[in-house]
Amino acid sequence: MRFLASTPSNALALLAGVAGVILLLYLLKPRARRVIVASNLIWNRVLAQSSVVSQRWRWFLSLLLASLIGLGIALALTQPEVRALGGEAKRIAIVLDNAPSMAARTQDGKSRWRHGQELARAIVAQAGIASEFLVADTMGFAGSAGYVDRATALSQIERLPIAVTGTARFPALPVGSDLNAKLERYLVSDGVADYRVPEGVMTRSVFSAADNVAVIAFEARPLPSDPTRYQAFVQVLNASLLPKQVALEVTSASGFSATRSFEVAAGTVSDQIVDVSKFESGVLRAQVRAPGDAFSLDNEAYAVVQAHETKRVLLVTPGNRYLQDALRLLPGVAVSIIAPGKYRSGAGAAQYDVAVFDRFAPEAPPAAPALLFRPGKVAWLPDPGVAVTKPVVTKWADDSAMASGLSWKDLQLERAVLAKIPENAAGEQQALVVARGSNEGALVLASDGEQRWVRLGFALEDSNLQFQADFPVFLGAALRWLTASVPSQTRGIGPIEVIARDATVTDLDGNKIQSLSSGSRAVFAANRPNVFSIKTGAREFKLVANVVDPKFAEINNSRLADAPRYMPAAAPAPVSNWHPWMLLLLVATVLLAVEALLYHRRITL
Amino acid sequence: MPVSKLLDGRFLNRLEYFRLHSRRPARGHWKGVHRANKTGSGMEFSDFRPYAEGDDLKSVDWRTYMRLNRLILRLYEEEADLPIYIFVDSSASMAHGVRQDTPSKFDYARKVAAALAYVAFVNMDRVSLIAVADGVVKDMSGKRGKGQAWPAFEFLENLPNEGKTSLQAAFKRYFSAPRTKGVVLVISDFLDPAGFESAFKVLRQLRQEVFAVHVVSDEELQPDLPDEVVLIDAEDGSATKRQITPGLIDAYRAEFERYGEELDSFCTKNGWGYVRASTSVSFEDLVLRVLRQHGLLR
Repeated sequence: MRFLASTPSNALALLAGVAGVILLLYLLKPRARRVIVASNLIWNRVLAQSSVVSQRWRWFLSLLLASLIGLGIALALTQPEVRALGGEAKRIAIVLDNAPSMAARTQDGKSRWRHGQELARAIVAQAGIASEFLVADTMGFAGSAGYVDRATALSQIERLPIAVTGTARFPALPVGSDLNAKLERYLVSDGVADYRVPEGVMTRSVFSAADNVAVIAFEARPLPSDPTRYQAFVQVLNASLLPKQVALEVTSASGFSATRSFEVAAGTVSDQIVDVSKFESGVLRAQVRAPGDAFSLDNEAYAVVQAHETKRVLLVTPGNRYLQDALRLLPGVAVSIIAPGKYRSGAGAAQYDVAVFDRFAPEAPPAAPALLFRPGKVAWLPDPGVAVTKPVVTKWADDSAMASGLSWKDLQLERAVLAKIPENAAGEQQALVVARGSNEGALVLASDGEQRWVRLGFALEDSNLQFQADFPVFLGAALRWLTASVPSQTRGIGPIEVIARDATVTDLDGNKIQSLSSGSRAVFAANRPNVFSIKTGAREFKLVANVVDPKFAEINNSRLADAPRYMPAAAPAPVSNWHPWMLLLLVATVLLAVEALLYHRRITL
Repeated sequence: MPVSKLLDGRFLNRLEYFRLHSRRPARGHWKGVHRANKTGSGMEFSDFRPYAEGDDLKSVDWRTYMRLNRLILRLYEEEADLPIYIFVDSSASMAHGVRQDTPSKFDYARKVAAALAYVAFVNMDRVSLIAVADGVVKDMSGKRGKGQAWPAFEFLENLPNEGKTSLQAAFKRYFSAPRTKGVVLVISDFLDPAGFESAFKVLRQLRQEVFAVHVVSDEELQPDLPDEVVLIDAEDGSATKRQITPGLIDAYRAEFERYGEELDSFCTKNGWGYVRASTSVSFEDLVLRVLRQHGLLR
């Protein structure tokens, strides 16, 4: 017999000690009281009829009861393991796979996750009543509560959520300090998530094939040939084992709707292009429907369509092919190019959205916001400062939309003019410093005052900027900043981090989403595909959260596809839900009550 | 106002309306209030008989003579005194039974004896008070008249309370001298190791009319004893070690009741009177109600 709270030798010593003490106490009788009675005549007549055996019986009955009570309590303290009653005491670690694929519904209508929870509960129920359990998960949601009792383990299993994103991994399991207990480790999984399972772990499969059709890409963008026309690009994956007839519907809250039906072969992707030119601007929702679809999380996706308008850009340059081409290739941009000599100062650029000046600056501020590459000294711009050769970019503003898209470390300059940062009388900076040079002068300055401008202190010929892949990104970001149009961002579902100080996040339905702010960043959770509005100060932009990983939809790609499903009812449950030590205490308590009753009735001593 | 340590004056006044009743004719030699079994000068008419020479002419019924012309005598019952023998158990066992609101059996017995003696004295009966233990301890025999009540009370007040019980020895000893048949009142707890039968057989042989007053205490009726006890006999000092259980207590009570019933049965079978007097019952209630109900007092 094992004792869970003691070694066998200590337990036996305790029991022997208790029995000895009880016997000793019964042998050490208190001296009988002497009572003088009128006569023993009646007593002798009574005593002649009563037997001495009953007196011995009383003594032995009292000793027996006291011994049973004492040994019961002592035995309860040692927590004996009675397999016939409470099963074998083990230390069981149960790892539940709560990767997103576990949300797939099986043929009986329950999800794999629900099957997994039932299976985990069955493992707990079939274990010995004195067993201890550790409940962990592959997505790291379960806390490190250590080994707990049955009720707590069942509660933990019930509370565990399914993750919607993230990387699954097998957690490190503590062994525990009680070497008496046997350790068993179980993994309850559908085998879809890819992680290494340590040796000795008993895997219980809840996998069963399920149909799934998913939207794995959705984007709405203008046609390159006509920026005023928009197309929605939808990729539909059939992750089922059979071909599926899919119904695709692209809709908006304003009433736009486009539907089509098509068949997708098993395991293939179907690209669909939908003309959404009639949809002016806003949020588009793409949804697929297929018979028997068992995984709903990837059935929809969102896209944000900007207003269908073209930015008119005036490029004033003595000639720069890279700059001209980059501007022309930007979507939604119409470029007009003139030489500096033909630029009319004052009302020049009045009919344009943005003016780009290459190695030139008009004497008077232009009528449109201006992007200037190494401008000359003019009154409406800050002092150009000193010219330096081979400056190095030492700092840049990460939280600036213009700076964040460019690899500033890779920028090489032959020469540049580092401008002195303009300040007001109170010493506050009057312009946004996008990037600083090696000697702390501003390399790129921007102003969002009455006249919006972005000033670069170098010409494109003096740098490798025009050869960088990020150059169009920088140009686009600069133009958007100058025209104050903020594009939407696209992320995968799960935790989302955005550069936004003290952001207020709302979803498509206007519900406020709880976010965590840290410095200039905010983090919030997107548990389903959705469109979030993020407002920080006066700035507001939209963020689209979609299922972007095609693997997410591959819910039948399981390494346990050939493993038999575990049947929870195979093993018998323990006879009792009571720990043997609890039963011992209960019996001792009952015996104590019996002893008190018998003593009160003078049956025992 | 108390006239004795045993009885107060008001109670004595109430006792003067009673007399001791005997089922048999009185055999006293002195004039009394009890019917004797011979004709004489009493008040109760008994019979007629023809006049014989030498008869007292005062007894001739002259009306009958006028009607029948024959001398006929009217005979009347003789009224004699009643010898009363009051035996008071003064053994050590009678000292028990004292509780907060109850007297000892001995005190209770002395009060009963004093009350009955007073009733007898008032009715001109011949009263003998005998204290008994394992023999006759002390006696005050053959006293008559109300004036003897106070010496009798003093006799009772000064009785010792000690010794073993042997009623048989006491009766044999007392009645070894010639005694007129009368009423024998035995006031005792009857805890005689030799049993009450042998003692009562002595009285039965002497054809005495017996009335037993069985004095019991609450201590005997409801013993309160610890679990482990050594019972010491107050008279002989014998010890018995016992484990006291509720069952044993119940058996004791049953045996005590059986003992009383045996006593009652023995007395009834012999035409005697028996009454159980618990010290928890008020003494006045015993004398004025219980003894009247049992026919000892009228």
